[in-house]
Amino acid sequence: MESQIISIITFLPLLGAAALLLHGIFWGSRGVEKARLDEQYRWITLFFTIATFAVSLATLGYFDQSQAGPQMVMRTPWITTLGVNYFVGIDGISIWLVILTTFIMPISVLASWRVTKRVREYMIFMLVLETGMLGVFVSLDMFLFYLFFEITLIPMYFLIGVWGGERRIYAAIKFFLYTVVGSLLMLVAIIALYFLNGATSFDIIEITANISSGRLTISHNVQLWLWLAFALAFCIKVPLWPLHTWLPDAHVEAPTAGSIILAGVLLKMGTYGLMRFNLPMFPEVSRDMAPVMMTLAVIGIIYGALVAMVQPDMKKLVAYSSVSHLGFVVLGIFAFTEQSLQGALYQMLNHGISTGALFYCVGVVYERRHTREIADYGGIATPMPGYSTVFLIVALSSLGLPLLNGFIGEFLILIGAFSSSVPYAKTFAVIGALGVILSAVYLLWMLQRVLFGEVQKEENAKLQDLDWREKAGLLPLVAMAIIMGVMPMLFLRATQPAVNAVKDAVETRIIRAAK
Amino acid sequence: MRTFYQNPETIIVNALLLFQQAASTALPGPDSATPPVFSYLPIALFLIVAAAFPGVALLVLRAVRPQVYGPQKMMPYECGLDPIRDARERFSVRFYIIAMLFLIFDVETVFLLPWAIAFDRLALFGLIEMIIFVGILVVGYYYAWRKGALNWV
Amino acid sequence: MEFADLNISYSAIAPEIITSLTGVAIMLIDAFSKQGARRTNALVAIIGFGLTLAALAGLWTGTWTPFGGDYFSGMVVVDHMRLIFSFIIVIVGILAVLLAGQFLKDEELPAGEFFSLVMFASAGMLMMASAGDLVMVFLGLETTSIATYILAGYRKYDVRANESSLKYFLLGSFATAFLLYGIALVYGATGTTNIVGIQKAIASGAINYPPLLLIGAAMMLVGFGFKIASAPFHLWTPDVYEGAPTLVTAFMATGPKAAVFAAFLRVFAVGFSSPTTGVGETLQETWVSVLAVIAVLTMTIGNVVALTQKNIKRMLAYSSIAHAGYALVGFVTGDFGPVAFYLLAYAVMNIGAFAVIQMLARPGDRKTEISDYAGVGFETPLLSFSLAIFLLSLAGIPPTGGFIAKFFVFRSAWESTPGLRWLVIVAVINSIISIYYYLYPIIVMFFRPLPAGFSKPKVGAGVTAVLVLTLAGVFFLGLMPDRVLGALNQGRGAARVAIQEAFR
Repeated sequence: MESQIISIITFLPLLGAAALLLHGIFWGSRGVEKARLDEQYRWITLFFTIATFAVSLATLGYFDQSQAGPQMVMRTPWITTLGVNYFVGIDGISIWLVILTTFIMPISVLASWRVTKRVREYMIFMLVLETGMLGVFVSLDMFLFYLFFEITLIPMYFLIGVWGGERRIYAAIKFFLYTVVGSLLMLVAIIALYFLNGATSFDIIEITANISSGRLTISHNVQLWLWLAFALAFCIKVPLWPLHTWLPDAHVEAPTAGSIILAGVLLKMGTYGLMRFNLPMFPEVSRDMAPVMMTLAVIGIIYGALVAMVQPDMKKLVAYSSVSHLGFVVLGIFAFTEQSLQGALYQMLNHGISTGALFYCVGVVYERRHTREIADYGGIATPMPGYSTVFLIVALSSLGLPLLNGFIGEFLILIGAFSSSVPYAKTFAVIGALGVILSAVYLLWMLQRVLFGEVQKEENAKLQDLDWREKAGLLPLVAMAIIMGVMPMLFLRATQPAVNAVKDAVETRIIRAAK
Repeated sequence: MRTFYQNPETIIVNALLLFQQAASTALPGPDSATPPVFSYLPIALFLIVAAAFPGVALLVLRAVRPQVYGPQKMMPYECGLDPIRDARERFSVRFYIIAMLFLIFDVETVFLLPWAIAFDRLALFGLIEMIIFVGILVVGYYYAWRKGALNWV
Repeated sequence: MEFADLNISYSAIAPEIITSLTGVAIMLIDAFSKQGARRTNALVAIIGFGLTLAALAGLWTGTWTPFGGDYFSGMVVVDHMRLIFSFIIVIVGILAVLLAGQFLKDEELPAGEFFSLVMFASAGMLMMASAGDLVMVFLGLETTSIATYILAGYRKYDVRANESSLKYFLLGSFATAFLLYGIALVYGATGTTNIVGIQKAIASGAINYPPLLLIGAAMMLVGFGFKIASAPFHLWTPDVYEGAPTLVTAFMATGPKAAVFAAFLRVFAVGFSSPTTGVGETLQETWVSVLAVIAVLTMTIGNVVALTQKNIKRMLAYSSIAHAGYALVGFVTGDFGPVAFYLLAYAVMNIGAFAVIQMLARPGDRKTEISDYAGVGFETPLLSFSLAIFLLSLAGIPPTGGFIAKFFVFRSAWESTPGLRWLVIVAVINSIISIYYYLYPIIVMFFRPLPAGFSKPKVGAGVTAVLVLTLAGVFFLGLMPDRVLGALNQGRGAARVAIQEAFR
């Protein structure tokens, strides 16, 4: 059971997709009315996503918090002639991301309850997407990783392109092409790394171990190219300024659930990749490039925040806030201290919860009014008190109010960056801290314009408050924001050994190089 | 023994052989033996001579012959019926089909002759191969027949 | 040479014999039956291909004929490379026959000739794959070509099909002439037409007039380059592929291409590979670098021009050019494995895509503009989702066969020689370019609204079978390629040459 649990989590959603497909083929041809069928599809999907979440919680029981290496691994030969193994497992870096994914998915399904166009196909794409995302986080074989990394593109492409807003075609293509450009160059780097390691396997753990123990030495020049290939793929995904331009388009055009997943999980594949590949595999180059990456991250923080401030569109505002927040994550990753790395990891989870919830909140009023313009709202706290409370908490958690989750992550990152030995790290930390203030400005300003004051427009006076389904979706997110804000060690303890291993991998190699 | 008068082309062949010997001594190959390409030299030369022959003949005749033009002289046929329309006419496509069918059997003959000469050495194998070959042609002929390729309407 | 030296073995050419005899049988059945026996003929064709498969399997296991030998005084070889390419050819043939039923019925075209021409073309392709001698290569090529010329113009009263057929015929003959002239010159230089004999002659240095060999090889390169539609000899491809009936386009783009690649590989990677002596070294270095340049040109021209196409058949024609380029990247590694796997995956996904196009185009190929596909996505889910999967596979997105094929080619090219690694980078950049135009029909199908007056095409049993088979094939090659790759690996030594040395 222990070795199979990861595979079960990964492929349970795919099973759900198959179930939906068969259900549709079987019942769809028997004249059952569409509305009833659609309702069944939604419940089946919800069932499978919750089941996946339940199984993923079981991993916590098996997880040994003192260990740094991968656990619950399963390794069997897959394509032996190419040296590919089916190798999955989780460690401290991936465990919470896996649970975040399975946690976000049922909420996204709830958020898309009101989708009426092609419900079956929609839900199938959601479930395939979940398998893809989980696969990225649990793969310990580079080939497998690449496979899942690409697979996530296709369902997301369809979700944006079919169920998206007005400019959905443009957004979908842009999303697809940007990501593919990065990932195909990463494929070349993977092949190159495979041959450098003696053409034995694509095993991430083995290659990382060989590099940090010095058994595999790569010349600095080659390392640089490989690092760039990997970093390009991941920085596009993060997205790091100036590669972020696909993100606002994709977010704005995607359906609500698509935005939640995109912000909640898909972007984390980039930062996760940086932590999994770039840092431990190419420590010297990571070290050399750290000031560059931190500069870009800080530009992203400030730029994202400033652009968010002037957005008239709520969804676009949240999208740009994502650029800003993920800048913090990259800043933390490239500061190479325990606090900053822990903070980066924590911030990934925070961003998933808070920004996901923000998108959900925007989606709630969009469903009622079919507009996302801030100017079209105002004073909706009066008709929707429950909604306003939730929105307020979520926004506060996103801007980093103490006792809510955002604070812990940003605080750890900034502390870590201050104590970092990377050149100019303190300067970057100071400028980054400005981003915290700016995020307070744009989020609170938006809240003020949307929620408070007099009701300006007639349509807004009769808005309905949250129904049970929206509460079921939003309350877990709010609860998580509070729990993560109050009891961070509950989460950080599990990640500590793995994060330290990454940090050590960078430090020991650099010390060795210095000698 | 045939003499020069009876067999004028021998002089050309003899000349070519001489020329070939001269060429192979002048242009030696990587090994001392005559290179295979140059063993075709007589053929090449023969081609040139053959191509030049009609041209030369025409030119010579043009210079030598008497040139008389008259209405009678310009007619296609000096005796017989006068032509009444253009000589270029469209043939029925059937002719081509018949021609192609003829070609197949022509090729069959070309194939059968060498087989007949080497029949004793090829033995049973050769016989079976030839039966298969002829069999394929028969099938093709039958097919053409059934499809109406031989009907003239 | 004595008669006994011929080394006659009928089992060595059993696949070719069976295929030809089936073609003859179909002709006879057609001649005997009063009103075109479409179903019977299709059934006979399938049975014929089944028997051919059995014969190939028998050869593979070495039950009748010792493996690795050559027969008919070196005319025919039995090795892994031949058999793997033969398998690809037979698979293409079976898929074409399955697709043909509905095509012939919808368009009311005579069935007997179609099936027998497919059989004869396949026999020619099998000959090319098994050829151990340049004469045999030529024979196979002509048999295939003549049958395919007729197939391209099979829709007799369609002007586009006539144009396609005529262009294919004229330019094809032109290419064959090049090839034949090349064969003649190589024979002149080496004194033999046997491919292994040529290799030995080059290795021993017994060459008459080395320039003759180089010119001959260049001529053959041009001839083969024409047939596989590589740039700059690709100009016939778009017109021919667009005009021919969709099914024939699918057949032409996969079967003959695979067969010509087989012959091309055998002649160049076996015949012209002796990096030890002066001429051989020059020859090998030259053809490898020329092919590398051709590969780059082919990929780039194919992909870039495909970006601007409005007609899906024309787009896939350019895509076919680009895919020949990827296969050529595998070619310059000197190993047949990546090429064979690539062509197998390409055959499966391309025939699948063309099957959908044939259905959506309706009789007479009326609707082949990409704009005709607007909104059909959810109306005909089987067809449109299949097409989407095939296009994504052609683009090389996992977990499809197209991805593994590309991966295998890139991996082999990266492994073979450091001097050719830039080729992998170029190929990857090309894959990125290609994604845009492969996504375009998907966008139109799913993201655009459906115009009024759309009627669902009726998908018959044959086409459904093709779709199921090709979809299964795409995912089989994408998820469980180990069996196929293992088989390819078995025969690795046979055609592998030491190009690495030429580039070190």
